[in-house]
Amino acid sequence: MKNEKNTIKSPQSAARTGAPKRDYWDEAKKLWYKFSLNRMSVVGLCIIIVILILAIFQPVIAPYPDHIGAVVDFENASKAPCADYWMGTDTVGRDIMSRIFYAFRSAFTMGLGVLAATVPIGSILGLVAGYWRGKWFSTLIMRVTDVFLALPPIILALCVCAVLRPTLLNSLLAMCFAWWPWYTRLTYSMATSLRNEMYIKSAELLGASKAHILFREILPNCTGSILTKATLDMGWVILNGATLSFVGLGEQPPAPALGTMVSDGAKYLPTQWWISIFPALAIMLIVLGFNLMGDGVKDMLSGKE
Amino acid sequence: MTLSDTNRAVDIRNLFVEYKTYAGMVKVLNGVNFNVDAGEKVAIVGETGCGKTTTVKSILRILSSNSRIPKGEIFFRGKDVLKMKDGEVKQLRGAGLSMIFQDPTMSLNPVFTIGEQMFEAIRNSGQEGCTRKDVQQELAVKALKETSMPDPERILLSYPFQLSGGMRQRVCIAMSLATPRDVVIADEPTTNLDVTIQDQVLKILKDRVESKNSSLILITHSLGVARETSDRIYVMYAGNMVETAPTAELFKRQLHPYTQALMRCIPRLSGGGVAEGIPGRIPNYLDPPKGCRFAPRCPRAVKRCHEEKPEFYDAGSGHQAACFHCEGGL
Amino acid sequence: MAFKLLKKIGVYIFVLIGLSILVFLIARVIPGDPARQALGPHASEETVQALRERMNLDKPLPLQYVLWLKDAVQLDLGESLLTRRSVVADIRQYLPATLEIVLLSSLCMVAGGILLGVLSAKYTGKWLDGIIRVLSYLGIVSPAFVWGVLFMLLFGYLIPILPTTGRIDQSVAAPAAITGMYTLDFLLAGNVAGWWDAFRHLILPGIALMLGGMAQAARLTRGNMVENSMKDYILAERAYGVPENRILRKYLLKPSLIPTITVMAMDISSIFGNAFLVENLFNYPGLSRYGLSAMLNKDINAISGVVMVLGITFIILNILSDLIVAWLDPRVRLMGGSED
Repeated sequence: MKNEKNTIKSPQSAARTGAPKRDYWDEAKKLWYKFSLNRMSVVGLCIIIVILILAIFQPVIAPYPDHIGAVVDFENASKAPCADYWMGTDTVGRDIMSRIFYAFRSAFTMGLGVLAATVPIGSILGLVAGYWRGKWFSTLIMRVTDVFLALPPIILALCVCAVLRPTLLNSLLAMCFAWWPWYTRLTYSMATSLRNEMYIKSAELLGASKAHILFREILPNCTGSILTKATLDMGWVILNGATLSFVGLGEQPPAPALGTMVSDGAKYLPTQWWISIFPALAIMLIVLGFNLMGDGVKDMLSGKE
Repeated sequence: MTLSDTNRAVDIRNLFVEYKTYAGMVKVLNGVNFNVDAGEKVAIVGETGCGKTTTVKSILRILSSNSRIPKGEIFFRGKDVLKMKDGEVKQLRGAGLSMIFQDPTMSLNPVFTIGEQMFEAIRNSGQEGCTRKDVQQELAVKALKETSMPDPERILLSYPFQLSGGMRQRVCIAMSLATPRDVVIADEPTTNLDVTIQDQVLKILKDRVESKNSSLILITHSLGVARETSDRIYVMYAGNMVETAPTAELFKRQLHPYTQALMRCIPRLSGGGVAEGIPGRIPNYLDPPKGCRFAPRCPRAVKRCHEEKPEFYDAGSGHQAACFHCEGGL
Repeated sequence: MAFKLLKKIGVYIFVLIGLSILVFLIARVIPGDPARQALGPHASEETVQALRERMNLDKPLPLQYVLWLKDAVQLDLGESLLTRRSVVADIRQYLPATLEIVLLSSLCMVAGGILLGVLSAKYTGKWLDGIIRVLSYLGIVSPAFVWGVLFMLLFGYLIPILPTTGRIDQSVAAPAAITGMYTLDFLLAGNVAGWWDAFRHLILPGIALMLGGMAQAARLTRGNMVENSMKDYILAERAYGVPENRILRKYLLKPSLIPTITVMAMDISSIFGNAFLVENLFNYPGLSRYGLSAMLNKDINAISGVVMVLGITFIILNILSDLIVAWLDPRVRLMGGSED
């Protein structure tokens, strides 16, 4: 076991070059086995799949698909949960459940959008800074990262949101602004330790290009940690996005956003508790789903048998 | 089966251990029979992955959580370890057994000084006056001196990371022998050490065990180490004990084809040249051979070897081998 | 070690300067004219121009930064456009309240998190472990504002035993300001009834702030302890008959706690972040509520001031956690690095 570190082949690239043909189906089955060892991570995956289906097919599934906009139905306003409105209606008579389903869309847009931008940018900066540790641009990247990490992401995002006009896109940009340094720090620390491994040294001696070393040798060994973090972060980004919309700096009414729905409903506590409690539970459910899944992804990609 | 002989320090009977993995149940131990008398020094020799560590870990009941023991008994001084309650297991570990691990970098707590850790071990050993600070200091210094550690007082104030691997392993030995024990288990205690200090550490271990009249179970993959240290040797192959004999006897005469092949692998200074190795490979534990697990590699295998599992056959003078060729003595 | 510490402090000073540039830049990218925004649409062009000059908005950006920094170092952060008072005076008024609540809930978070983590690790696999794990999952996934809303519902209306707004009851006079932290000031003044009232006001927002961090700390402590309990050195300590409780509290807890400390420092800074929402919900007049209303009203001087104060707080927090880690971990203390 001990000697594994000294092998010349990278553990990830061994599979690439060693076997003549990869059995992708078998590899996928093995990954799934490791993921499913932890039953809770399967529960998490199910939660996320159900939420995704509800979000995508909102117009078909939701009982009142058009209640997402400025619809007013005062006859049915402020109804407690009943057979027609499972989660009740808000003060202007819109179905809370239909609105929650639709709000899942902007929540996922937020999560995916922020991660799609920050994971590549942050990781590449970290890789470069880690591999060329000691060079001036590496120091510069890491010092800038330190500055961003000095504030909790939510405060940074609030600041940026505050100066921009409140829209979904702007809150997404603000979150990106606050989120990238975490990936830089993660890949930086991995790259600095990996660059001294024997298989990297031997690739260098064989005259491999820098791009090859960075993206074909070092990066594949970081993907496990990056993906694990990204899975967990989906939950956190969505939660922070909800926080932004809670204070009114996210998507604007009448479009439904989970945070906005909680803060609007809070005014009608305790009599009309359903207006804010159900969206709050929805936020918790998303974050829970990604959290449970994150544990499974960690087991799946950790390389342990 | 009758109650175990209480003279025996450890007595393992027909032990099976399995691990659950992605590929299925890995049947690692396949009916292990093993015993150690009081005051005896026994070595278990075998290739990496043949189940040596699993065997001793099951004695201490520290197997990992994905393991299962479908069958078998483990007696420690006549009591079945596998049927013990948690409290009894603690007692068993506290005063009966101790284990020296393979990797000395992992076997000392990184954030406490050697002294703090040794004093703690002595405090819980039940020796006379062992709760007094001065007695602890005295016993710890004595134990370190006995393992030829220079400047024991300074060692006691050091943290593990300030010591070399050899020094840490000697600290572990000193610790396990600063307190009286029935059985000391040493799992490849010299594998991670420089060749130059391996001998020294082994000799210290042997001397200390002898002077305390404890039993020793030494795990090693080196026949040379086993020869230097033990009274009796068990040869293990693929989850089975295949042969046992007093050390001198085994080096004179090997009965099991695997042991014979193993002996031929020892490089000799006088002629012979490079060792030839054993043809074939270790069997797949997921779907092991039905009969003797060595049969696929065995030059002397017959039809019966592939169908039936051989028991230990007695060949006299404490020599036993699990091979049909030895059935009915020699 | 001393050298390492100095180097680290150097990095922190750099971070502070970087932060000031960042804050300055964020404040200057506000679309539109900050001076016009401050004065409203009805102000005359001359007054707007005058304010623009007073705020140095007519000068080039690098010069603006230098001027701003020069004032900031002399504790002049300009005037709040919202309260029409000096930002420093505002901060001085609101900071103690936030520090008071954050300190209290951080203490509870650290103590509670470690305690629950240890209990959970001690009874691994038993029902208590199960309950603690489910609860910590719940704690981790719930945003602070959800706890706030729930507490408002529960204690504000259903079982009104605890106050849900402000720092003290209207019938109680505020204490003479010594530290600015009411609970401390009441104690110094020997006013037990006042102290009790101020303390009661801290309970609900304090708990809403710390639940997430506490759950995180509990989960991490448990995870590290369970992982370390499989290490050879713990097996060896068991083999020497060291009582299980002693192993748990001493030999297992210490190595497991060291990596948790850095994370707990981060959790404390996220308590400051959560305070932005919770103080607002509970109408608690602290720095975070002030900061949030500054953000909602694009009050740039106040935003910059609040963020700088928070940045300095976090840097102090980081230095503290570095010192605690060095104190606990001999590898850091004696070698300046960790082995594993």
